[in-house]
Amino acid sequence: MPFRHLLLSLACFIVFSCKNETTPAPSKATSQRPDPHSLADPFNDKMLELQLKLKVDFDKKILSGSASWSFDRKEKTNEIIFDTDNLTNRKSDPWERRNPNHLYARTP
Amino acid sequence: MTLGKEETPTTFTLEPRDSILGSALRIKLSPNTNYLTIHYSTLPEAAALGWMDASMTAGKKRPFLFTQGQAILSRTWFPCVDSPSSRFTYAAEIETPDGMMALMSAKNPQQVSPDGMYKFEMDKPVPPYLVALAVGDISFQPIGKRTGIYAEPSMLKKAAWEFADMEKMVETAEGLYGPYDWGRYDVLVLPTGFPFGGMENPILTFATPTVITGDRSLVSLVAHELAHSWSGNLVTNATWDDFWMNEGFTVYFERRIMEALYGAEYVEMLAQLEFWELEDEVRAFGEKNPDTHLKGNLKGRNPDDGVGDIAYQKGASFLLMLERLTDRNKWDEFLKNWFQANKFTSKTTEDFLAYLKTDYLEKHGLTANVDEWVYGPGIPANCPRPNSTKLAIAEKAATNIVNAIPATKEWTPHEWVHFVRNLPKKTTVETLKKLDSQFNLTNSGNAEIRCAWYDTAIRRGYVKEILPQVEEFLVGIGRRRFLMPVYTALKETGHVEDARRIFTKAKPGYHAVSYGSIEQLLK
Repeated sequence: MPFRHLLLSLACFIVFSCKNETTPAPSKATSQRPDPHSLADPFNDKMLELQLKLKVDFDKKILSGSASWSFDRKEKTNEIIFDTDNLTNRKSDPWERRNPNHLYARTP
Repeated sequence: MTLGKEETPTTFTLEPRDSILGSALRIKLSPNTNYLTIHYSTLPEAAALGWMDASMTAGKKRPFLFTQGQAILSRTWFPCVDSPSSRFTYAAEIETPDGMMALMSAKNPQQVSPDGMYKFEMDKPVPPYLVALAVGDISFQPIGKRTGIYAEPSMLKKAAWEFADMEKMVETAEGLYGPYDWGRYDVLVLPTGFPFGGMENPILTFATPTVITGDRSLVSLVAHELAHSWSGNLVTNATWDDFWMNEGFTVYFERRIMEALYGAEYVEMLAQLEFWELEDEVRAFGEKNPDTHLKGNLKGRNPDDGVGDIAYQKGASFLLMLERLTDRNKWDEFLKNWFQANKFTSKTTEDFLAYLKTDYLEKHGLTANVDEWVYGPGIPANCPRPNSTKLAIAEKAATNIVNAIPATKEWTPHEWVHFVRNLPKKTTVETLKKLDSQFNLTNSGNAEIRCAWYDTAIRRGYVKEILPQVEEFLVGIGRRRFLMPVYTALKETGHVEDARRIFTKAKPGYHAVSYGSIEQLLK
């Protein structure tokens, strides 16, 4: 099933990634979350398999590539949350230059 | 990267960063979406990634990379539902520079790939913190039929000698708690910058090079990481507040493996040393401090704050207390059943306590102050206390140092460490020099001895003479356990400028975990 493709500013994403060291948001830990150390929802969103494709770049000290997840969800909403920290988009990818958004979802 | 034609772009938002938890990545999808791909790069400051320049390795030729996911660092190298209650299988394709080997917590290669491409598969469900990667100039040497060592070529032979008992350890562990369910068990010896003792990445334990002592005195580390193949990896703490379930079980189990292989007296000595550390920690916290409860309360805090002797030693003492309520066979049967009934799942403290009640305590008509142990502070009165004769002798020799230098060369490193730690505060520099010239403690090959000796010597004024070796030690290792006491001793004896100078020189070789702790100490 195709999804509506909304444009989101790439610049905005970079600002978030770069600014975060200096302007930490208040802790989001709430009493509702069953695991206080995840911003995701491990009890609703059951991850099944991870496929990592990563290139190791010792000069830049980065890994770049993709992570694909297959999953089951109890409550099937229009949104899923993942934990990230200091991850950024992949600007150098030729495909990326043609497509400012770098997140894709697919239904098999 | 090629993208399948079914892959459809979607939208996302990245929330502002929480200083502990990072940023929630919210991705729009349809209710029946069950697969998605995220394209990304890590940043150089990603806390899970230990990038080591060639100068920080043993071989000095190629750089090295290792990951450390525990506790909540995996989110810095791949987007995930970063809770230990989330379990999944994984596959990976890793592209490396030519001539380097890539290894993961998965089925691993034993030879360098000619094109730098490696494929991995982990077919058992693991939590995110147990996904691990290492890349470097690495070679392999087998030990037994399903055990072996990975290390930089120059470390390989020494490491294989040190861990010659690995295959026996796996067999011993299986005898206690049931089949080893992961296939191979290998150990990767890391370059010096590795900040921890070991990390129990499934199939491939990551180990500090400081356990390669040449005297096999620290092989209990391998017993510990191997034990995690059951406690932690097979049955995992559901949240980091249940961390004692990973570590308390593992320390208990490590001692059972060591006892079976090396005898009860040796284990009593190890247990005694660690019990003293627990008593020190409880004293430092205060006996009523909630941070001395087994069940943690880390909400709003970094889960690494829960790493300490409470989870490890109080946890192990709790299990030993339970074991001694009846005969060992009943306890062993109960534990074996716990692991088999819950394998490849994540469990809370309360899950375990319910099982303990029905399948051990009530089943055998036993009672125990379980709540006091788990939800209460300090060390309960019915805590089993180790009593090591060997350490008592070393301690006596230390207190008697004014009268006589001990005439022993037969001591194990553990006895040496205890002796050194118990040297009286008023021990003169002259006496310390005599000890040093007789036993060469300043240049010991054993990092435990060096760390304890430097701490003791610095605090008794024997600093100037040994400062070059102290510096060599601090620059040459990256393990936080050894760095902190020595930096602290320098700081607290008016040598903070020396400490800062050494830190400036050493810090490129430290992982973020060690770096952060020491920077905080010296600021």
